[in-house]
Amino acid sequence: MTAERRTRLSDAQPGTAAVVVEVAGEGPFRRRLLDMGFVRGMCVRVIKSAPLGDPVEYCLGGTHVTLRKHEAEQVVVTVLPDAVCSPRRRRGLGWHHGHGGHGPRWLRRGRSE
Amino acid sequence: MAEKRTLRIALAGNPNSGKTSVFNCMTGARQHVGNWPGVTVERKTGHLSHRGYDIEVVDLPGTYSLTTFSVEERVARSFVVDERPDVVVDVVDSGNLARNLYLTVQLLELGAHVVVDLNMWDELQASGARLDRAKLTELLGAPVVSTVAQTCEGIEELLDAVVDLAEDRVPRHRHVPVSYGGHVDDVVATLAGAVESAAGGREALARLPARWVATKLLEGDPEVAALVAGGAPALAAVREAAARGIEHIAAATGSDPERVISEGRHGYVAGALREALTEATVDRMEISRRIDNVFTNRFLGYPIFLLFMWLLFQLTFRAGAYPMHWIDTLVNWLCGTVCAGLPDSILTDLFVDGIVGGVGSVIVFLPNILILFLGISFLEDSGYMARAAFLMDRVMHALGLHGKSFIPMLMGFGCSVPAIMATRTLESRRDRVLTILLIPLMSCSAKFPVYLLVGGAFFGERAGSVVFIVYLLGVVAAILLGRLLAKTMFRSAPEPFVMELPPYRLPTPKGLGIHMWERAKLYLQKMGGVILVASVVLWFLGAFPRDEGARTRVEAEASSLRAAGTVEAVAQADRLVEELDSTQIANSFVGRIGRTIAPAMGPLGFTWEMSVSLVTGFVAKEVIVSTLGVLYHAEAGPGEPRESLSRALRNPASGITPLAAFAFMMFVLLYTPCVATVAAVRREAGSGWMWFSIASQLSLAWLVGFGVYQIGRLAGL
Repeated sequence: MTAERRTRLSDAQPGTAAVVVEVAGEGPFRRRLLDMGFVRGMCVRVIKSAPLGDPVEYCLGGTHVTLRKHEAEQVVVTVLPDAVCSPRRRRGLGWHHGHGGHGPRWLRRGRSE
Repeated sequence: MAEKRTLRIALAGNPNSGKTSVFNCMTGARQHVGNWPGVTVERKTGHLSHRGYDIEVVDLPGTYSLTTFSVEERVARSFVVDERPDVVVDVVDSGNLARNLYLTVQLLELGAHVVVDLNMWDELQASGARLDRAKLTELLGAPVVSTVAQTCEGIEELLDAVVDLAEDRVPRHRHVPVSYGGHVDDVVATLAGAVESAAGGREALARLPARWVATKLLEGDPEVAALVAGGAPALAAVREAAARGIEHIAAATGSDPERVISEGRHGYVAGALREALTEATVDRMEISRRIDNVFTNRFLGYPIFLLFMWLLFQLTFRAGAYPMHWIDTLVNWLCGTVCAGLPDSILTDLFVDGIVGGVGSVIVFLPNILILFLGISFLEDSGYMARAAFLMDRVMHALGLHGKSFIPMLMGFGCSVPAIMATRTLESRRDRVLTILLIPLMSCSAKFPVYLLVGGAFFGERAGSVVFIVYLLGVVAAILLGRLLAKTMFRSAPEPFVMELPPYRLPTPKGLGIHMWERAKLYLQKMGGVILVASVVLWFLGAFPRDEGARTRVEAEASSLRAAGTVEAVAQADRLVEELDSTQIANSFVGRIGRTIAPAMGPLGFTWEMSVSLVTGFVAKEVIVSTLGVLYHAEAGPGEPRESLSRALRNPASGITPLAAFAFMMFVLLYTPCVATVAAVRREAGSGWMWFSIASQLSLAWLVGFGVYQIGRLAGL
């Protein structure tokens, strides 16, 4: 098992995957993220940033959502070393450490994007 | 058989769940589009009959949750709580169950009678996923059906389920309480107990499930907190229990209730899906991702976006010009045949210039609106709109706006009326109002003839550059005003840019048609009347009071001169008639208003004629040109009327300096838009914002005009 490091979602590079630890801050914005499924244990893949660098497209539980950089800063994550959300993790809540590397082909392609 | 034959159902669901398509399938074109009371969130209702029931369907705003943070969620929640619909149909995107069922759980917690509609069922099946519907029904405690709204498949079965549930023919949902974890569940149970003891005799509290009230109190929901405000000991006990509960949760979980409860709901959904769903083997976003490799590509993204925008603009305003021309010709022809037979009188004038002109000014926008909304519906239904917002957000965010605001703003260069209507694509009211306030600063095409005339008259060869600068300054003004408003009046509600990029889909002609028809109806019903009345009133103000004596005298003299037939006599007759028209407008109510405000326009270098033309410009901006023409005695008739007016303006006798002309162009750019736009602002943002829009733009125009003229003079221009 590789060590996982805790960081902000805004610092995760396109092509990587990370698991949500918590959403910091308070108020409508945090609530919206919680409602959208940015809760502990959910796996997020960083797809790409818009041509001007902001906002950034993420894949969360099979849907693609966009966040502005300063919004993604509020999301604390641990980056997954193998950059893969396994189907188990994708479903969130109850993902396993160190699982991965052999998901479906499209999941692995994330790296080259 | 039950005696109740009418049902009222509500459609709830996430944005992009296909809720609108389900609604269209149910009601067809029998829809009524209005607003929710007190807010300008669209409220759509429709009627249908099914198995002998008359069913009223209310389409709730698309939401992810039921908090009180956004107007949309408040509207949806209060409808379910206060209006108690017989059944709530929760439209769910089958391809995204985890997030969509989160709303379902909240509706169930609220005690609503829910039918879960798994929409886009075909996509779920194509993806290789398998869902045990019976299992999900059991786990959620609510009937689960499936539909494909794009082809209206399964709608009959959905309605059967609705009727069955409403008539208690299926077991009512047994509330399966969401577990938030041991400690939290204890807190919720204790608090719910306190709520129940307090509910006796308090109707507002008693009709809500105690457990739901308890979770909302823990989440700090202000509307629910207001229900337990008051001096009664039972209510104080509830508040105390809630405060203790929050502390307890923080101590036990190291986290706040909002997060713990949200995680509990997501966990509940995940648990249900673990049992009922076999995950997809094919990713439905695969194709969309490939398309996005091009459409949101770092290099190709913007060129493609600009191409689409160019097409949309050209289609709306260029192609739209043809039907506009036909309408114009038709109206003229009808009027030519009908009006010719009418006697020469004030009533005829009222009919021809007032009413026909007014109706003309209403329907002239219709082709634009139809085409623009066809285009916008296509962009929205296909999924490209979200990508456009993704691309443009960085730019629009600088103005304090959402990426989606770009399209309405761009359309503002064509005409503000459809552009303002296009702000309905924006989800948050804050963004909608702010965009509506900025749209009139995008110089619309009706202002162009004014620039062309004034610019051409005073700046000759440099006219092109000057007009370009005016357009540019409009954009600059929008940026500055947008930033200012975002930092002041609109600071309170920062709307997060959490936007979904839905999979690309091919829009259906039916969906596009209904959407287009809806907009046209909305425009004709809700704005057409206002525009028509305002046009007639403005015509009246321009036509009265009139000096009938002088008119008869001049017309008699002119016709006798024309009868003489010599070139000089005819010219003399024309001059007399012109003189009369000019005096008429100068003495009319509009002319008097114009002359009254003229002193206020003095510091901007405007003549009274210019002031009058600004007043008539309220009808439509291009009217400024014709008013100036009448007031400055431009030679009417064939040839080059604009050229002669241009000369008349340039003539030192007109009293207009090039500097004043530039200030005038800036004023026309910035000041209160035409009556149709004002009607649209009132319709979409409310009367308060309409007055704000009028006042702020007038002040802005005056200040800028003043600044330009006075600074220019100091600089010796």
